[in-house]
Formats: sequence, structure tokens, C-alpha cells
Amino acid sequence: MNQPITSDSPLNAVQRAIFDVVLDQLIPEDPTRQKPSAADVGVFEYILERYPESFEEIRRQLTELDAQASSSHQMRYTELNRELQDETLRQLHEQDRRFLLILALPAVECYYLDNRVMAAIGLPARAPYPEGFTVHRGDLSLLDPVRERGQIWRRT
Amino acid sequence: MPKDVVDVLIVGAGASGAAVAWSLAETRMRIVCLEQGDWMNPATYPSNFQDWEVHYGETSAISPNYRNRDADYPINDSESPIAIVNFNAVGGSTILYSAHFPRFHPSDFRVRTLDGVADDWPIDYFTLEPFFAENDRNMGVSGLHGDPAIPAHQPPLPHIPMGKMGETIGRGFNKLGWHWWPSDSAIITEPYEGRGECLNLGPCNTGCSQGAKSSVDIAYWLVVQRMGVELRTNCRVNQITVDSNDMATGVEYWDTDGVLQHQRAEVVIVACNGVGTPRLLLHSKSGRFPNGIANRSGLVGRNLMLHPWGGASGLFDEPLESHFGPQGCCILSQEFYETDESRGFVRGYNLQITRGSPPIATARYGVASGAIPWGSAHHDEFEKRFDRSVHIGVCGEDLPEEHNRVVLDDELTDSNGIPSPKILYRTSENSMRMLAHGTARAVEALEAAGAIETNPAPYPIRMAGWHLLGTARMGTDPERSVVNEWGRCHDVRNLFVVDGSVFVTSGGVNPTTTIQAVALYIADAMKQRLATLFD
Repeated sequence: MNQPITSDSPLNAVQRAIFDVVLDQLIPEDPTRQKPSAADVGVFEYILERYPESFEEIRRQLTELDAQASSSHQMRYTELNRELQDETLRQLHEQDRRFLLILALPAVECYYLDNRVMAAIGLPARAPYPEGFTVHRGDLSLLDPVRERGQIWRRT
Repeated sequence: MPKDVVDVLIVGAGASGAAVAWSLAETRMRIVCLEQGDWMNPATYPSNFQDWEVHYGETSAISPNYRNRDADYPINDSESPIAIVNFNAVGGSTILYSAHFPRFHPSDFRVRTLDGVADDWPIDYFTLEPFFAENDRNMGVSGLHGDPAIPAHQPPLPHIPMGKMGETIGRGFNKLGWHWWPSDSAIITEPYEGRGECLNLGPCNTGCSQGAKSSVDIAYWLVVQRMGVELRTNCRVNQITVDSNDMATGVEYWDTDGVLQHQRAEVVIVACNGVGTPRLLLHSKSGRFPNGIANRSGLVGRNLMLHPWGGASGLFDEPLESHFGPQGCCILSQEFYETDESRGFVRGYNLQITRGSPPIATARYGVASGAIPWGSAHHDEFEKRFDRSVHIGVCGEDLPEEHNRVVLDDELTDSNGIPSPKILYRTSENSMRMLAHGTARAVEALEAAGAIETNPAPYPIRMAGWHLLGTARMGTDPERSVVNEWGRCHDVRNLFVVDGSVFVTSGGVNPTTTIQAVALYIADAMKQRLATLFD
């Protein structure tokens, strides 16, 4: 994790690799529902565009995750199998429930804006306006008991 | 031109300013309205974009302290459990309101007589009834005739769609034997007055791209301008000026180029809402009024009422299409609106059923709270929650208390250096008991409707200070009120207040329709008295 940042990217290669693993842990692919992994929807670019200031804290927490892997298993985080990655992440979540939320919250924003994901949850991949949506007016016979009860406002 | 004397000068182009301008326009007087904000462009509203949900926290944030627009003024609400939310533009807070449009009840105007608390209004529901109807026509209000919780009235447009969600909750209310009804809504459900009908976009409270929500920039100002009223935008009023006879002479304001101007006027009407109005009055100090204009009673800024909010969310085991449709408008229950002292509090509340969470809000809340876990279970849990949630809000009547007030902040200012309002507010014991009762009833209703999980919200909900009332109260006694029974300041005979500041009590419903009915009533009273207006 001590590799210098060699480009304009806010994450070096190791950090970026952990970043992608964490996203896949957050929301893995679900082929049955035709939903991609969160590592496959452009979260890095999304955060870079909307929340670039959060990368400093993301870097710090990814470093903490890597350090936990080294401490517990004497391996880099990306070298662990998924079971151990999950265990390592769980350990840090048990210490702090908000650990990596700074990554997880923009990640779910980005995820549920992805056209494939929107289609998978039954939404058209478009803005609400101008096409809008249909909502049926409702069964007014359900109001019969309310009508039968009569006036309830207080006379003055 | 600004140095000319105009007949009527209105400060504020929101709900009440628009209504009073419309009514007075038929007199052919020269009327000018100054608005510190600008026209909004519906093409920029979030629902034009696929990522509309992300904009909730940006330009459409409901608190001026988060928006940081020049048109807004910051508000020090650090000494209030409820934050003030509003919007400054042509249209005022109707740009972001949900357009839930229930009327006050007749009992709301007689709380002293009926329940021995607060004060009666000097006017009653039936005095306002024709102005409610007039406003319904002007705004374009949808609803269903025959609601037994309110005197009979006929909204001009068919009710807002309930959808599967409204039917489900309605069945729950029926199981309990409670009142419910499709909400009156200031949203047009059919083409009306050249406007297109509601498309069920969802996020009404970020601005309506279709123009179906009746924000007053669309519903009133386009018409009012054609009637000859001049609307000057980006003009922030510094203070109301006064002469040695205690008559207002006009206002001092910064024009759109930032130049300080004085606009003379025969009549000044303040329409800046329950926080902006006392701020302006308190800031308008002079030798005649060292504590602020029209404040010899010392009541300007006092008796602030905010409608403390509670509520509960419910999760159902089947899709309800709950994230489609007007976010804040579906059905309501007024089962607990009128006083029943066996409940442990006086007065009552409204249950407002609002639509469920859209996808990003569902996922963000779920992940942040831990309800939606990391890993492959994310998909299952998201599926169990998305499109299956409903929220029931509790809007409780807030009684007037003099210690709840708006004052001028010692340090905080707006971009022109005018002191910001500071809110000193405590939620009363009566309100807390009411919210406890209402929250429990919201949970009960959700469970009766079949909710498999309910989540009551801690109350009062902080970011819910929409309804700003009572800070320049109406009454016949100059020592106990700021304006008389038709909106004229007791101390300054050509100065009027027409917004929610004049409310004597707050009712237990969203107040915009009643604010506008009061503004139309005051305008009508002025027109009836034109020859003797200052007597």
C-alpha cells in the first residue's frame, strides 16, 4: 500500500485492486437476476466525478483493510481467498459498523443508476420526465365504510 | 421608475403573495411585488434526469443552510429540535412542497371555546370557505367530494391516484374502523388551464418538471403578470420604511444589480412566511419603532408554531408500486384530528400516507442501517424492501407559546448583510404526547394493512420545519396580536401581513391551502374597504 500514486488517479494500482474486490464483496454479480457486480458498473469514475474529496478517506480505510489482512493472515488483502476477505472485512465492521460506508453509499448510488440494474428491478432506464408512470386511480368502493359512518368533523 | 409611488407593494412571491396579488389585480391599482429569488427553470428539476435521486441533497435540498444559494438566507436553528426548511424563488416554498392540500377544520378556529387552550381566531372556517373554493380553482386542486371529516366541498379535479399502495393502507384503516380519504392535492390530474396533467413522476418535492404540481409560479404568477402586476425578481428587501405618522412609506431593497433602492408605496403587504416576515419586521427598526415595525405588542416573532412531525414506515411482503405517483399525496386519515382528552392531549393530528422509497434511497438506507447486508444477500434483501415500503407521517397541531419565537441572530447574515433569523423553539409536552399517540397509531395502521415490519421514527423529526406559523398573529386586541382581523397591522395602518404569520393556531394539517384562503380573504377585505382602508 506504500506504492506512490503515479498518475492523476487518486488510487494506486494496489489500492484500486482492493477497491474492486470490496465492491464485489458489497454487491456480487447475480446471474439469475441478471444483475452485474458493483465492481462492474463504473463506481470509481462515479466517485471521481461526484465525490472526489472522499478518496482521501477511502484510501485510508482501504489501507486499514490491507493492514488487517497482513496482521491476521500475513498476506495482502487481494491475495486472500473470498472467505478470508469476507472474514477480514467482517472483523473491521464489528469494530466500526460504518467502516467503508464512505465507499459503499456512493457505490449503491452508482449501482442503481446502471441501466442493467434498473432493468433487473423492473424500471426503465430513463428519467421520470417526460414519459412518467402509470398509477391506477384506486377502488373507491373501499370508502363505503367511511361514508356509512357519516360526518366526523366537530361542529362549532 | 423605482422612485415612483406604487399603490401596493408586496414583499415575497410565494403562496400568499401570489394569491393576494391575483385578488388585488382586478382593482387596476399599480402593484409591484419584490422577490429575493428568481424564476425557476423546470428543465433543471431532478426528474428530468435518470439520476434524479442523487439531486435530493444538492440544489433541491430542503434546508437553505445546505443549499447555500444567494437567493436564500441562512437560518440559525441550533436552538430548535426542528430545523427550518423553505425555498426562496418565484413560487417560494411551493417549488418544493408536496402539495398535500387538506383544509383546516371549523374547530381549528375555535380552540379556546372548544378546548380551553390558545385563542380563538377572529374569523371562522365559513368566512374562509368561499376563498378556499376560489383558491382551489386558481391553483388546480384534485380531490374526491364527500369526505366526512371536513365540511362538504367539491375540488375541481378528480382525486390523485391511490394505486395499490393507497388501497392496501385503506383496507388497513377499514379493519380498524378509522377514517381515511384520498387527499386533496394541489396537483392537476387532468389538463387544466393550459397545463398538462400529472404524470406520476414521483419526486414532487424536488420541483415538478411537468408543471402539474401547482406551485404558484405556474398556477398564479403567469396569470397575475398578465393581469398587470409587476414582479421584480432578485430583489431583496432590507427594511420597511416609516414616517412620523406611523405610516409605511415603502421599502428599501437591493435590486437585481445589487444597488440599494427605495420603493415608495401607499400600501405595503408582507408575504415572506412565518420566519421571513418577523425577520423583516424586526429588522425594520426606526425611531418610531425601536423594536421593529408594528411590534408595540412585543409579539412579532413570538408564538412560532412548526407542526412537529412523527411517523412510521412499514414494509410489506408484496410489491405495492409504492415508489410511483406524487410523493407526498395519496390518502390521509383524520380519525384523530379532533380533541379527545382521554388520549392525554388536546387537539389532534393528521395521518398523511406518503409513497415508498425509490431504489437508491432504499439501498442507501438499507446499507447504512445494516438492514441490507453486504454480499450475495444484498439482492434478496433489496428485493424484499424495494417497492414494498409505505410511510405514514404524523402532522400534529402545535399550540402557540410565546417562548417559541424568531429573533434576529447576532452574527449570522445573508449575502446582503441582513441579520439571519434565529429560532428559539421547544417542543411542548402536549405535542410530544400527541406524537407518541400518533406514531403508535401509524404503526397500528401499517400492521392492520399487513406490514411485516414497521419502523417508527424518533420524534419530532428534525428536518421537517416546513410549516411556519403564528409569528404576527391576528386578533382584535392590539396588546395580544400584531394584525387585526383582516390582516392590517394594529400599529401601522397601511402595512398588511398575509402569510402564515397571522395564524392564531396551527391546525393539524399542511397549511398552504389555508394560508392562501386567508390571503385571499384579506385581499377581499381590503377591496371592500378601499375608501376607508387607513381609517
